[in-house]
Amino acid sequence: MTGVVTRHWEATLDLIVRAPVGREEHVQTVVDTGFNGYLTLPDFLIASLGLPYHSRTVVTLADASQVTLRQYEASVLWDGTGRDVLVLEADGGPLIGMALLRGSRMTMDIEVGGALRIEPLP
Amino acid sequence: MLTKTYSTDDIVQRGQEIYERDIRSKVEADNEGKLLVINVETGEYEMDADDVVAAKRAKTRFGNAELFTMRIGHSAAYRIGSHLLSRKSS
Repeated sequence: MTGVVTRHWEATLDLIVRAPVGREEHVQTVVDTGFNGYLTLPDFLIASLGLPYHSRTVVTLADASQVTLRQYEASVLWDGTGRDVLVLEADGGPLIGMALLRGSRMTMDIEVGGALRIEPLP
Repeated sequence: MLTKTYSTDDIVQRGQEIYERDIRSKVEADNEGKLLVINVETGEYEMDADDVVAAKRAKTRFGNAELFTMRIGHSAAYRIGSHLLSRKSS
């Protein structure tokens, strides 16, 4: 899988997110290695996909504050295969976290327009 | 069947209370880091080292009951954003 480092110095990856009912969306995500979950999506994307609601959960933010977020179920197309994930509803740009990256090797050329490459661990 | 409608605060508070009162002593010592999903209506729970497995098992078993997801041994299930250094007062 390949992505790109943007002029805002963010490592981005386009992902296909699917709902059980069959809807799917192409989502531009930012890779956040400080996030230990799978995926965050804003409320309008969760609604347009019709993702099934799962639970409430508490999340710690960078300033150590804690918030309660809603969690949903989805799948993503990852390296050509559908993978079930949990999605946190959070404002702002979609993030990919370490739980989704588990089992992968990620390399980045950290320059504007540089390539981000994700492949299975050997 | 009438089901009580829980507010967000209810779900978190009930979930945390149920954990502290009924679950923690049984699971915490040997299951640090596992995801725990609590049915806040009945107090039942599902637990697994794989977050998605725990979540799906809970959904299958508990249906539309209100669920609270937490991580054993941690105050939050997830962390978003790297830790900021705290500002020291001068």
